[in-house]
Amino acid sequence: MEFFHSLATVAFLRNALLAGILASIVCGTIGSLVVVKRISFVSGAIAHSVLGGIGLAYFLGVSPILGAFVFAILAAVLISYVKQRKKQNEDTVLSAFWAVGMAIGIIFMSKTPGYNANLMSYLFGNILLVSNSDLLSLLLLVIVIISTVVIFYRQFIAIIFDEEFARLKKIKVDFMYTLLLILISLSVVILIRIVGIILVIALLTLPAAISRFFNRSIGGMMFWASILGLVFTILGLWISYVLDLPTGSVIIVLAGLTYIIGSFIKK
Amino acid sequence: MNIVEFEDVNFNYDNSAILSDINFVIEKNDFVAIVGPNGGGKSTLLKLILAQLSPTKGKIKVFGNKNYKSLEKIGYVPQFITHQSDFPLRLIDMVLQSKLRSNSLFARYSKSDKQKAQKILDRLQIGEFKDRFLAELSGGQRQRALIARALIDDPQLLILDEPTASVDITVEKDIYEILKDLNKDMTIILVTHDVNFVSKYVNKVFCINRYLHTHKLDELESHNAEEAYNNSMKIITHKCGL
Repeated sequence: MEFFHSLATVAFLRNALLAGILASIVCGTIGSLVVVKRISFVSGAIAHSVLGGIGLAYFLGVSPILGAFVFAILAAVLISYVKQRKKQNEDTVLSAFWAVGMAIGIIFMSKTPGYNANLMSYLFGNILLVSNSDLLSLLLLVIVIISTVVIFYRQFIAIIFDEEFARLKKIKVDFMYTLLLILISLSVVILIRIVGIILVIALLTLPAAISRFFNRSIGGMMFWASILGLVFTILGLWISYVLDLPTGSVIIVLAGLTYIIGSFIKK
Repeated sequence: MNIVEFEDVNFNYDNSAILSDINFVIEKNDFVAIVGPNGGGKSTLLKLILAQLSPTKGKIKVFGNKNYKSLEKIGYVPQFITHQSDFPLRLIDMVLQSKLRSNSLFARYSKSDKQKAQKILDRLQIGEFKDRFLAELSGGQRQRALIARALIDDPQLLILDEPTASVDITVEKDIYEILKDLNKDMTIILVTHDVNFVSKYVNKVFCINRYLHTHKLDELESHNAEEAYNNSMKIITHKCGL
């Protein structure tokens, strides 16, 4: 109970909780689209290439979240472009984004004094370090993401369900796909604060995948995935606070366990 | 006016010829089956008609128009890819996707769109399932749903890619009966593997194996000779490498 008292009174715990709420909404909404479109590998590539931006930002002495933001958008646009061209093997290109982005990040960080602690916090996240200004930018991103999904909801569903048909109906499929990847990029930037680059795909996909077990509509999936994300975040904060464990990892282990149990029940 | 017209059409992909010297005419209220081995160019031919690909050489006219962008007049029924069978979408919402347009923000469907959808679902005898999710439908119901989605824009030409690939034989018959009924109002082109079954319903068979062989079945049937028909089937299966 001490934990819940602290949540209200200790600033860093309160910020962590608020960041968790924002992240959960994103996980639920964008995660559901990622799960039904089956593009978690694309999301992974975007997430890992973001480290390049973070490293560069550190090296240049600008805000890492800005670097992450720029690289995430860049990765989204490039990956979408590669997919449209269909000339290259998409799988190979994604792997390249995945690895090269990280490599660039690590090169820049190694040339920046005192990088070690920061590297760890971006790889594995640190929800306890969320500042007031971080919260504000997270809130802004959440508003942008959610309103875009609301505006283009039916178009997104149409291109996810049947791209070929949507193209025939003159829906701008390539534009919508790029937009979807950009939304994923923005989500990744948010979620990295919570669980870090390595674990971000899990937080994006696991709540949505669990939610799919007991929801038949995408709207329902989004709602319950958000609730699940929130439960995992709060429980994760609590357990890591009591047992002195890294919060992001605890959140992911909780989500993973629930997913495994859920898939057995579903059978 | 011919519905579809191909004149000396060639299509190459990465320097290998997929389709060569394709000439054909599809007239109003034709019911055409396209058969042929895998990789023979069946889907390429559909994509050319749908203007998703451009020919390397030759002329294509659809509805008498060389630069046709009037895809609303074409209804397209894709293969129902199995992984989508549990897609979290209601039948009615899937059908209404036909009414989405590129620039509609907060896309809403009008009352007339919904009434239209209901009418078509009733015609295909799946009206009562409109609020069901795709996962709760049988293979045949799902296939009808895809046909309904294509019909909602009042197409003059209906194109189906293996509409009976994943259903059993009774459902297959139902679907062909539906198509036969629809054929009174529109021209139909369908890709299929099962040439023997489909030959009872269609009036033209196109065999595609890089080259095209056309067979007009109605002329044969006017002789009303079982033997001629069987011979024709043999020729079709032989030439198509089936």
